[in-house]
Amino acid sequence: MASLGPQTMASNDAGVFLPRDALYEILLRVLARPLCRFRAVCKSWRSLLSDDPQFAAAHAARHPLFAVAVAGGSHGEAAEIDILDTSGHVVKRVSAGASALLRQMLPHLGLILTSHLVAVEGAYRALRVINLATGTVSLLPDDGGRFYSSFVFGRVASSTKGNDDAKYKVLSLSHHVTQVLTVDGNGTSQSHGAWRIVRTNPPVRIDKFHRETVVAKGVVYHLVDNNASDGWTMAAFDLAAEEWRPALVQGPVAEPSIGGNVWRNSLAEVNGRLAAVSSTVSTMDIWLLMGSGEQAMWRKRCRILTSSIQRPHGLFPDVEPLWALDDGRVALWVTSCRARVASGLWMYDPMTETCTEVAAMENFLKVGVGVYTGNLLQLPQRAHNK
Amino acid sequence: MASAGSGDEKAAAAAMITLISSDNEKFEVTEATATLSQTIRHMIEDGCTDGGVPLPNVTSKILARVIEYCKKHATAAAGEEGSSSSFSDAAFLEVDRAFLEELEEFDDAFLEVDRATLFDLILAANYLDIKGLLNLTCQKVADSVKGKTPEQIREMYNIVNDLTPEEEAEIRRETQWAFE
Repeated sequence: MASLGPQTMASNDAGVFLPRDALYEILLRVLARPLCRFRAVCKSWRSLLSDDPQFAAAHAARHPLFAVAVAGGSHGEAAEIDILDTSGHVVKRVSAGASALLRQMLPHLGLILTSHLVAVEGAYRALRVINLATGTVSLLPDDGGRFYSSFVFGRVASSTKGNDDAKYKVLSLSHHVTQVLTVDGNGTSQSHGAWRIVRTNPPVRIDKFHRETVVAKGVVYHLVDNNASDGWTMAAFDLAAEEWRPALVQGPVAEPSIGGNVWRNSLAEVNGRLAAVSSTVSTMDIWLLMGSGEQAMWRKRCRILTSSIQRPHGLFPDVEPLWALDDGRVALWVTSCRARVASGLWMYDPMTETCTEVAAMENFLKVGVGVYTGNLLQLPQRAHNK
Repeated sequence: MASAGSGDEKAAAAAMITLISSDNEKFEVTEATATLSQTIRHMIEDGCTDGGVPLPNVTSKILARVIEYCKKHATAAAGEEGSSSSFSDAAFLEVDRAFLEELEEFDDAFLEVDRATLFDLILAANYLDIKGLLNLTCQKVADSVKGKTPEQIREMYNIVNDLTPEEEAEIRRETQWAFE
């Protein structure tokens, strides 16, 4: 216990003893990059910052990181993945190989799936998974869908705690056939790399996975109808059971908005949950799907006033929410319009009701963005290094 | 707002809580002020605040500062309840904003203390479970360390480096990007 009386209070500010309970609370509020540096302070700081899963989890919940995959344009031939913190600083950069003919980059949690258009040995695509913690790249087997495949990539909801046995699955859709491939937590394919054909059909015909196909809590949601006046519906695929759910999921019922008519309904993954996003020209309402299965229900999370986001060439930007922080701020990914125009990470502050750009990406051909939950405070397993 | 001379004296007295510091000093505060502390809120709910609440981990000097913070922020909380969160009313917004600015100024001035006091405030906020105060004080320290090197941190907090040169080199190698 601190037993300093008022009279014995150190008048000199240098060299004050830092109590451990206070240290824990303080370091929770420091971003990951300086924290990694602070491991070199002393043994007890190193153990808190490297070997304390409770601290690492509490820190990750407070400071979400975003994986932004950028390819082409002024980035030259190489594609790269930047891991950004909430202030827009690049805390880590991972090479993603050549960007030529890169079609898709789908970051999900600690891994990122890339798909290149190539013609080698009878395959028309090269599917790779990059492990953002280790930087290792694994080539996945071809799904046989030729040019027509579209992909989704996501983590299977784990029944047990801990991420060591984390499994991911790649879903491929071509000619109305859904196939699935298991990928382990390091990014390598399992079961001898065999694609399995899914025997169930979605409740409605789906031609292609698109940007409104998102993965949250082990379920793939695909927006099939975004009729703004009647709400919206989505098909759901359970990654663990590897089957399409028989019923469509209904989106939330939109409230009358001060911002005018809803012009876009979209899906996103926010705080690890499925988010339904309803946008007008000046507002964005976000609902999160709480609970699971029969008990699942929509809960309104927040409304964002988006009118402070710039509109180059008078075009409405696409705004995708990424994460709602405890202090009320919301991280957004803004795409101005099609490729080669500035996009970036923005932050909405409810106190000032304005959106501010924290990181800009310019001149690129392809971009993919997702939340990075791989923990920078947990070092990649040393056994994997030589 | 309970201004002087108005209202039932007994009711006012019933809403007062006595807090007792580690050096046995007594502080009379309103329930609204005291319940900013979740720890004290639970004690009140359990009905064990008769005869005062002893706080053996908090000195009178620190407790006085904590109470100063809670008084200011309790008024803020009461004000917030009164105003709806409707943002269609511009006049309401102006009032809210002026008040928030005043609160921010108060917080800035509140943090003008030496480092030892700041740490004592963090420990008290932690023990009393006062979320706003814990956040405020910890963020202040966090902002002051974030740009520092490990050497500067050791110097600031009198920490002896007990890592071997090999261990330190390994940490630097593992997360090279954090040192660049």
